[in-house]
Amino acid sequence: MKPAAWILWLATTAAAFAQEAPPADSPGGQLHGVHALVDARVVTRPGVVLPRATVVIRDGVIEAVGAVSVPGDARVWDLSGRTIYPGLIEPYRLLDPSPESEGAAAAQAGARNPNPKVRAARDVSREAGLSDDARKALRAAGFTAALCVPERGIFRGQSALIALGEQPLGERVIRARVAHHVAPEHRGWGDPGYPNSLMGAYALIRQTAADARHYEIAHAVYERAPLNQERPALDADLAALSQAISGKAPVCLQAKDAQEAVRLGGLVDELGLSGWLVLGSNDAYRWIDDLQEAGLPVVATLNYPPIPVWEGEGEAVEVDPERLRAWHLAAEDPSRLEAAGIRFAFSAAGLQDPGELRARVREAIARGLSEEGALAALTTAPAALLRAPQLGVIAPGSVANLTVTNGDLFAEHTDVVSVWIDGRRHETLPPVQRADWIGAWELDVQAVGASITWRLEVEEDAGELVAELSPWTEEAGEDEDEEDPQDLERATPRLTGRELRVTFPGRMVGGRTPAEFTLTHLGKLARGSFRAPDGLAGELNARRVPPPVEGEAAAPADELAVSVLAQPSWPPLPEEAPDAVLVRGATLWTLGPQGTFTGDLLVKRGRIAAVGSQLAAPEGALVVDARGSHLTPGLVDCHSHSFLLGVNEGTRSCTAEVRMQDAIDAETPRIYEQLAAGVTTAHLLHGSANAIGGQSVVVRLRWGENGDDLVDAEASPTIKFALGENPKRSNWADAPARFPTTRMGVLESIRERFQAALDYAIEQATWSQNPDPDRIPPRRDLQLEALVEVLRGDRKVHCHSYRQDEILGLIRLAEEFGFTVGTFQHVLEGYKVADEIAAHGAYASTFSDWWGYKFEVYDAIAYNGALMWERGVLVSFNSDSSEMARRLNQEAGKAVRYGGVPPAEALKFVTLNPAIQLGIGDRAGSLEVGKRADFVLWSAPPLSMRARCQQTWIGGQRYYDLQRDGERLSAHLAERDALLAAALRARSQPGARVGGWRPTFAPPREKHEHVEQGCCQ
Amino acid sequence: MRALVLGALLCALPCAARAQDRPVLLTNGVAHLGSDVPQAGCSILIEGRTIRAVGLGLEAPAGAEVIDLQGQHVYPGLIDADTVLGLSEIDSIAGPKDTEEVGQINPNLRAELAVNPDSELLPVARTGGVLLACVGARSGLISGTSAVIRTAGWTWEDMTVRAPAALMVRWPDMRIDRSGQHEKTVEEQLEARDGQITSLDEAFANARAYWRAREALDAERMPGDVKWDALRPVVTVERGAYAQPRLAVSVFADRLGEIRAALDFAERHRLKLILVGAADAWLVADELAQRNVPVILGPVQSLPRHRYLGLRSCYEVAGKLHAAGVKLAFSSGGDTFSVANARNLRLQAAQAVAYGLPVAAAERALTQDAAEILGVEDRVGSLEAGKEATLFVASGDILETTTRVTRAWIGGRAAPLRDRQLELYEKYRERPR
Repeated sequence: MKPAAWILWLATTAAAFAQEAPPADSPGGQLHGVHALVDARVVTRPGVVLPRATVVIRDGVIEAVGAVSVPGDARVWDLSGRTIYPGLIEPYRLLDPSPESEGAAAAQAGARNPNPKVRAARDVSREAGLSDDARKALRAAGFTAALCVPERGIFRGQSALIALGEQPLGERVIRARVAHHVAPEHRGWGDPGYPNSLMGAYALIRQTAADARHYEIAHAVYERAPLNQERPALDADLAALSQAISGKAPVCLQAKDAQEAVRLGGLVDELGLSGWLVLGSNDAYRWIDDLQEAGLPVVATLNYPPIPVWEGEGEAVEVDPERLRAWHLAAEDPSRLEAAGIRFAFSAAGLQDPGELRARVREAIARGLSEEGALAALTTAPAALLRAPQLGVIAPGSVANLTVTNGDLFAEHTDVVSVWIDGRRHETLPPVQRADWIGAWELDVQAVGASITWRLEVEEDAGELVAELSPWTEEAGEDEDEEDPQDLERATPRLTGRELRVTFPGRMVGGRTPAEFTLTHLGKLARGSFRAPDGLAGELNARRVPPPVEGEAAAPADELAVSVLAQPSWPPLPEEAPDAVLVRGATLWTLGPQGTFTGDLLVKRGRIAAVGSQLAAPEGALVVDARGSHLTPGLVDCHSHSFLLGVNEGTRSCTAEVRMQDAIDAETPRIYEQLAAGVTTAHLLHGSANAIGGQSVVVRLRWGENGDDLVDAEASPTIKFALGENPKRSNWADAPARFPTTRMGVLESIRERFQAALDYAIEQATWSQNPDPDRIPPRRDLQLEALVEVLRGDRKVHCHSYRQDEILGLIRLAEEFGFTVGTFQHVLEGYKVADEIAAHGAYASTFSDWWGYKFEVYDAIAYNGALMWERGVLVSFNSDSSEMARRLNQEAGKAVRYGGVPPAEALKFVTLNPAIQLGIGDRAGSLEVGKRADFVLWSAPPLSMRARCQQTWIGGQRYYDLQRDGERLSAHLAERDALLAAALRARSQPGARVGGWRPTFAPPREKHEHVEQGCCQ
Repeated sequence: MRALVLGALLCALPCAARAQDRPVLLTNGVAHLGSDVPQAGCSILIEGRTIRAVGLGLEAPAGAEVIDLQGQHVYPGLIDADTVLGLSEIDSIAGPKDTEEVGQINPNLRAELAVNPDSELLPVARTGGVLLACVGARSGLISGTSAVIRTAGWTWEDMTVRAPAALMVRWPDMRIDRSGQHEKTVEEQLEARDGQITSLDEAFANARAYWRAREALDAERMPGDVKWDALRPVVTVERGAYAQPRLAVSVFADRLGEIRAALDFAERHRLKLILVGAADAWLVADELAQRNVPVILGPVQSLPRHRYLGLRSCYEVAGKLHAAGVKLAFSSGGDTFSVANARNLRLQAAQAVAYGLPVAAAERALTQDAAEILGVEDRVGSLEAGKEATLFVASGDILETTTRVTRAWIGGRAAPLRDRQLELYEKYRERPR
């Protein structure tokens, strides 16, 4: 934030702080600054334990640690029985929404970025930061410092590493502007502000990075040569990013799950950033190799999903095995990060109370995480990440941040007794109340030469505490009736602060006079001493005796009848690709010059090597007996949204900068579902909300690969356009007014953008031919660059269209700008202007027979495909639906029924023709030598309603096999049954986590909503 | 109003139409008579509105028009057992859409009253052999009564075969989100859900009390109630004249939880139950068979409800229900989007055949069994002498996409198979190049 904005903010929101308040206390009484913590077990860093050591603190810094002498000026703290750890560090504490962040959703004051989602100049060290309560809760959890992170926006601003003590903020800031924080935040359809989609968020990140680079140059040039050129705008947010976008300052990227983390890792690489990722889920097991490859450190949250709960048969059948797996595997996830060699730190983000974190870590340790790794994840790892070497260890020179416990940090009954922050002690145990004493305690008494154990039973009787002391016996708790009253001593204890005082007969310790002991409450432990008037003295250690557990203890949750692997048994990953495959005896629908005949197909290294009769199997080839089956090229779906996490960036009428590749969902089982129907390639398009939508992407259905690796890099780049009712927003009652609302307006909005693109291309070309160091270079505009690619013919327009007038209109517009429309999508009145489409050179991808769902498709006819085909248009049939994608072969049959297209030609509608439309016609779509070995085996002629898909191959690798599918599904069912049983057991355990759960970085809306609605028709 | 209902019930045959001028004899057809193997070389004689005879080597009566089918197939008119044909024209446009009414309990809404005989969707449906359809509104808990209509006719009365055909209930969503992510607590969700079931129970309890009172008073003095009047044919009034309900209740329920609750409901109120949608019905197939509950399936071409039970499980539902002995009918989907393609009803059945349903069973489910479920088997659903002549001729097996419907008769009248789509096709095919 620039000073001007800072002052403005002060004036409006914090007037009370504008002048220093008079001191409220009398002077003097400074805290002592030198301390010696003696006789403690000290863990100086993960793996290094000093069983009995002293820590000396001077003025907030550790002076010495180990078997060192206590300085004469030190205040001495007896920490026998305690363990001292380096102060824990919380590396990702999101700030609670505040007026500073929420109010500015509309606009930011001052010279800020026009998009309120770009708030990089926000500097948390200049804000109030964490509340007293928030700091207290973190201290109680053992934390001594926390990275305070701006919570909202896409470029969210800069975090500050802050000590969790109680000094004024300025004294507590360890480092300001530690990192820039970025998240692909998107609030969905209801948010009118650009961007509201996942892929829109990525687009904004890219454009902003480009803008920040340009900003730096523009201002430097203008500083030097301010004459004869327009003054560049002042933008505090772009200015703040200058170090980060060049990789010199770290960027921390927030991912809601592992898949998003992989994608953000790719973005870090693409933009040349440095930094780390925050993982909001515990599903790294899905993409552990990709995360390892990304090589970025990870802040892992431990907000494990709750135990799946259901009641009755009707709900049980709805329990998705993936949910069970996610629940079961979550606590195992940290150990996977460790095993993969990924640097990781832990954060309590997402937990209702940071105090729950240690219990989560304990679960992770039980599931394979090393204790050292666990401690490192809370100390040295975050210190390294946040570049704070003075934190995270107990060593001379380090900041005196310590976490003191009464046992092993991750043991179940251990409490954080106190934390030291900057050399100041903070009590962390909550104040003790009467109820905290009630119950049974096992009391070890160490007197001179004697060691005995008592049982202390504290009860409440008529509003008064009553203490009963008796000799300890193991059975004492169970049969109280048999207690010998002779041995029972009753007393009325006194309660002061944390201390309980009890008078008891001296004879119990061999003394003569009554004595009094004092116990100090330390959570599940208590410590104390006694001294009798006769001089007898001793020490006491008490441990709370847990109440007897009702019923038998439940089995541990990981005791399963089957082993649950990171990779689900179903849907199965493909088999290893053989070097060569010979498919014998199938009816081959080559769709090439060889026509349809019964013969063999030979595949070598992923490509078709031969198509013929009686082919010989090469050495070591896999031979598939396909007699009786029909073999066709893999199906190509030219219009799909099936594997996307978002469809529309509907906030603007042109969003050409948006890339659907950023929203690929490589986890959706729909990929496998469509493989099982013979689909090998799909064109994933932006929705039709805008006249100019986003850049679409072609994927091969290589189930198991990540989003970027699914992409068919050889396909032609495409972009979605849309005409008619959808970009006009005719059918959305609550759509705010936006140009265009007429068909003429739609075309004009496209024309305007192409004009801008043309001007942009000229501007860029002029500059690159004659760059002038004293002139500000033109700004990169990623939206216009995509349109320039269209003008150059490098990016194909796939245009959602229905009526003939708009189809013709776009053809004429394209001709005016000198490019050819690639493919008209839907194009349900294409039959009316088939000649014009053919003459223009565009292709058509239509529904076989959908019609009547809105007015602009009232003239849609099932003969459309055949009629366009008759008139020389290259036609494909597409699905635009996850359901229809499972039967594209049947759809082709409709071209035979309506219009009499010959069967092999009709089959091309879902194979070769869409392949051509996607620029891979020379590589896919037919069975010809040299093409990709993407093919399908069917049980009957492919256009028959009786045909079932038996096998699907992509690039010579078998991705679907009916028989294998069945086998793996049985294993999957067994695993589900075992997990259901485990979930049932787990929920009956005390403290079981059921319900009340929110994802760590909860998406504002359900992720698939718009996809499910099939928004694009 | 009761008189009107009665009138509709009695309106068995088209009333106001030109009957077939002269008898028609179809010869040399492959007739699908409901048995496992169709009858080749079969003749069918249509006289007036009725099939007069079916058999080998029938003589043509004097003056009859003889049509040689040359081995084409003859089927009874297909029945789309759950659709909004005639009630909705264009999904996105509210004006011509009569499927959603205000209110939760609307037993008195009669579907046939809103059927538009000139809907462009009807001829399109006919080209797929859909000559009969069970139509109804689809809102609220009790949506109204459905009607079995012919897909051609001059008026809705002319088109109606049976109305009411069933009382339509849409079972509330039984799912409870217990993860904590739902905006409502588990208790609030349970309250909302059970409140809906209570309103259904209350409607039936009120109707029963109303009719007991009415019959006990034996007088028309009691104030009438349009809703409880409409429920008369489905409630059982023990002391009254009817021990068995006259009208079935068709309950839309896809998920197992809803199906179970619907079965309990039917038991509770002694209803004659038809399950509609019924995606999960195969999980309780034996019980349905045992309790004689028929099923009108939602679209077979769909996504699996539970992937872990197999990606083809949705295609196998019909085969499994049939194997267990459950009587089946098919539907095109029952919503205002899929209604435009009611012509693909046969492909829903074909999909089931590819995944285990025997061909003959599929054909019966499209015709005779659907007619029985909807209570119109005495008039339509089979090629039998005495039945209404609602039948069509196809170029081959209707369970294959490429097969065409070449001729059709509805109630003895030749039904045009030219639709808007064919006309546009022919028009633009003739467009000069």
